[in-house]
Amino acid sequence: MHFTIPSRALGAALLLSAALVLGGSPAHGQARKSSNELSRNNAQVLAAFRDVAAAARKSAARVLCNGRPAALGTVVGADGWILTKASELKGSPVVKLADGRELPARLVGVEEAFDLAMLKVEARGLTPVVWRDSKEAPVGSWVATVATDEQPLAAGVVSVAARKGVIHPTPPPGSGYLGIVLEAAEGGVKILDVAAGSPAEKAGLKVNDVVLAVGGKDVKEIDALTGEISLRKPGETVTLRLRRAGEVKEIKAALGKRPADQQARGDLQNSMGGRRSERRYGFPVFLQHDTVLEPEQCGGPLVDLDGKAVGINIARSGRTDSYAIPSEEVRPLLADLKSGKLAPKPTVAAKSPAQEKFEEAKAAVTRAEAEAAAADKKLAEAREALKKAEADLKKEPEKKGQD
Amino acid sequence: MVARHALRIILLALMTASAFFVPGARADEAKSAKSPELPAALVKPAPDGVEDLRAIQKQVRSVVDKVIPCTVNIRAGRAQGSGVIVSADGYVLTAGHVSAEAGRDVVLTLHDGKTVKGKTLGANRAIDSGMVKITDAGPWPFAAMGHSADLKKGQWCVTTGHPNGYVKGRPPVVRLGRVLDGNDNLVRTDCTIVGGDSGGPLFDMRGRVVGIHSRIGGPLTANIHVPVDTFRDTWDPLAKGEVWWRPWLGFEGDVESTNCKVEKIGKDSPAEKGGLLPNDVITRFDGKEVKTFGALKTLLSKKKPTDQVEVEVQRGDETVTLKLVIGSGKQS
Repeated sequence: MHFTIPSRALGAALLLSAALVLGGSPAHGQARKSSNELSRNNAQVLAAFRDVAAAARKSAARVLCNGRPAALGTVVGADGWILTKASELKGSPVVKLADGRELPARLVGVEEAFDLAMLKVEARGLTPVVWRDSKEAPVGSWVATVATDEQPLAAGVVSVAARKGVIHPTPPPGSGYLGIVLEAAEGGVKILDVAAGSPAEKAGLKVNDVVLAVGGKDVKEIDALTGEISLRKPGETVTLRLRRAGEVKEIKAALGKRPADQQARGDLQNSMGGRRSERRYGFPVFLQHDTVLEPEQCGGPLVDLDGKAVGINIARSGRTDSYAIPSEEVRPLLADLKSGKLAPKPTVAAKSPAQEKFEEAKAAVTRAEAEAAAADKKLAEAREALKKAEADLKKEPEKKGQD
Repeated sequence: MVARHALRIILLALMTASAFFVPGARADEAKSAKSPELPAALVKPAPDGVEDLRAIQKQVRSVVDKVIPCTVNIRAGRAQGSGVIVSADGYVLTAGHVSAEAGRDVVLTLHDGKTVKGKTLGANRAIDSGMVKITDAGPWPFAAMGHSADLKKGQWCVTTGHPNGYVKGRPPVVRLGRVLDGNDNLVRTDCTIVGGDSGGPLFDMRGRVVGIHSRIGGPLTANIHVPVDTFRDTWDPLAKGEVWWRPWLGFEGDVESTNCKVEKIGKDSPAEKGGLLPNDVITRFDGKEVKTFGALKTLLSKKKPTDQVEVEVQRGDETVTLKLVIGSGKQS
């Protein structure tokens, strides 16, 4: 065997060392185990939050649907008012309080934009959560996600202060697509590139066109343009006003579907490391934090080190981020959510038992399929490891009388 | 045996001590020794309670205030990444796969949404370090470069960057984590990063850059950063706009042989230019004895393009010393 110095071997070794860290080899498994003791999410770090949870856990609840954990809840009224994440309620809800009681709950209000739901249980003397404005927890502040246990479920820090939403870094799945690369320009947004075969190309958009308006709305920024497009669905036609070689003209474009590979990359990276909430887009105002949450750990209070709620967890959004609705946005909604002014639409409220049973069975199949796929992968990896070990064994020279 | 082992450790200690007293380094060391002690809570294996958490929080907030203004988004054509300004005149550290090629026009978006112009400089594609220079007139807010060699397992760290790309109205995004492990080529933390963060900075709890975001693996504990020391070690070639995939000499030998015997010399390679000949047996590289290509490869991997290295070869009965200039290997 010949060795070029430096050969491909060096490059490969570097990549391999990365692959070792990133991949799922046995060595990596060990590294993970030992490093979890160091991780900021380890049990010791969470134990330090015990006093924080003690102050807030009585104001937290667990929400079960069809006997399974669906979300967390937040006590917002002593007489049995529980706030939670609306879109996670699939089936008749039961609320488990910090004192251990499990009570059937009625869905009395839904605010769709914020994805908040109000539940009512027959209970008195509950401890409502104590609110604090989210600006009191500036970027870098600890925030704990509290359930009914002595320790919080998870902790993190505020990543971005409360801000207005709607436009999202990754376009929502199923939103419209044009296929252009953009740059900010005088009075509009300049097209740097038009993807081959894209809806933009079919509509006759050209490189160096400056888009001035989409559907009659001025677009002075890239985000304004992408925002307008992502609010529309594939198949919709949109009128673009643009400047080409000094002339202003209008072009109609039929939006298409985002190619799978484009959606896939960002989506894949964001799904690495855990499950995400189904509804994780479109909140009018939200606070971003880096706590690692499961989708069913949303709906409960997000508290500061005094145990005061700076927000309600509303979504696990991606690999790096979870969202909470800031307390100052939640509080003004509470009265309408309780009074029936924001009564749930019938479709959300009730599903026929047969429908529920069907959905449950469907979900069970999906889960089992995922488990089977994971098991297959594990088996393949184990076989590969065995093969390699076998090969190594054959290579090994015989050992002679050594201890 | 025991005595020899002990002697070796003492020698090492002496060498370390003498390094401290290099005149140029002294002021630097003295300064860092005087920089305020970190709160005890940050040095413990884990916080004990709410008071420790408050101490950590106070430090994190102060670091965040300092480092957010130095964090930038970089747009180079279709690609987007992050970066960190490390000098008042606008040198920006980023990932090698963000700057990619030298001399490209880029647009940098500062923390407050203002955009400035810049150009890509060099990149070490093997380790994934890259550099960009802001070409608009400064001065710019900048973060100090720390020392990645001093990082300890379990040490707290802060990350900024633009996950999923720049979003109007969203300042650089803060995440907190701890150093899990690392080596000369990478640092691994549980500060979660994702596409768009590439090139963004990892900070120690004094707000000094200790790494640059490079890549991720499946688990949330597999966030990989390029150690900042490698940027310092290769500052000149990076600033000059060199792009390389690996330090390169350009000759071949039999990897299984018991010595480093040269067989083929690449045309126009640094080896050829330095006068290396077929059948030369390399015995010393950069002052160190080498007996195998493996050892030689390790020594070479620590060099950077434009470094001049003394190589001693056995040529027939003669011992010849050559001066080779390390080159840049292209993509493998």
